[in-house]
Amino acid sequence: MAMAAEILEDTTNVLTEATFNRLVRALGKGTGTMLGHEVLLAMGLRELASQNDLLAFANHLITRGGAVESVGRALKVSALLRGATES
Amino acid sequence: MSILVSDYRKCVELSERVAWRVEDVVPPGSTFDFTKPFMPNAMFFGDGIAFLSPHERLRLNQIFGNSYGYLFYFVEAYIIDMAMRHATAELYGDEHALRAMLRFAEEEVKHQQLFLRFGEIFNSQFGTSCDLVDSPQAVASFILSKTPMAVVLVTLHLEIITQTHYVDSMRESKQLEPLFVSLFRNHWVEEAQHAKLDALELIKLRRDADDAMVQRAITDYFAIAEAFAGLLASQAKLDVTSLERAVQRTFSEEERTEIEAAQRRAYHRAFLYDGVTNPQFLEFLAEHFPGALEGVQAAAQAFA
Repeated sequence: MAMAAEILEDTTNVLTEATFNRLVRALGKGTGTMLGHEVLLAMGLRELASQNDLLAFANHLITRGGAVESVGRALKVSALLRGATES
Repeated sequence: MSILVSDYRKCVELSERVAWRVEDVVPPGSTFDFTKPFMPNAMFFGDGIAFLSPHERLRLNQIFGNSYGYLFYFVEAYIIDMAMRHATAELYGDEHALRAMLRFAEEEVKHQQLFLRFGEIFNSQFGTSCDLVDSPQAVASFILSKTPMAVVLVTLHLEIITQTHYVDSMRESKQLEPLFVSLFRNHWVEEAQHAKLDALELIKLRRDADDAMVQRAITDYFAIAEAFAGLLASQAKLDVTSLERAVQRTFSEEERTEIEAAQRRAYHRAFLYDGVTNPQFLEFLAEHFPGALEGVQAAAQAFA
């Protein structure tokens, strides 16, 4: 829990903020923010530092199905347009 | 200030103001006047072929007009895919950008329907069939395999030339076939908004790109232009056979070569040279992709 709290405070870079904003718009503030932190935690990241990070984050969302999958697909296309590559 | 400066909301507003329906531009029962040329003198080089009669030159001009319209149908296949990808990327993001890009995609589908309708009318009234390059899907796949910035750069190039052709060569020309001119006037008014959207998308992608990505986009842009030059050369060759069929005459090998060269030059100038020499396009490149300027100078020489 301590790590999650740290992440909450540290997710201030532009890419992470924009990504979280998408989740909030699609899912509401509480659910969107919580899900964003949950996925970052699962990836072992504090923030999204590159388009490849965003792509990995999006791929996590896509596995969830429903509206979350929809956000994931949008983020995935956004990352690919900006040069991210599937490993 | 560049005509490409705009924002997503303004593009949607302007797009709504100038929108049209295919049925209004090409109503049922529309006919072409085949006593008139389709393509402006400035874009057609067949008038310099001494061994062709005035009637044969007119037929070649009309064959060029048919191919010119078809080639826009052809390239719009990949542009629709591109616009849909950029719209998807804005889902739950910037709603003005999302709406603008969805509208962009919808209008490109409409343009394809317009050019299909044009082709149907042309084929039913011209009298003989005209050969056209095939596999727009294969070409779309090739283009879309390149970096996204290069794909949008090529699209900006193509959308700017539609403006150049209509405004500089078709708009004031009284002797051209009126329905053909009207079709490209309507095409131009919507493409003018698309060019602004291309510029906005490019600026967005460029902002997040490092130098290596920008260089790769420039390399890809020229690779697509080169492939497109090959496609246009194939169309020029097909035009010679279409002309033989239309005028019921078999040309000698030398004559075929001369007609093909005139058509190839016309296609290369229309689709490539007019883009790489366009002041707005050059201004945009100078500001956002200065590394491409040397290459466009070389391309301008190659496709003059």
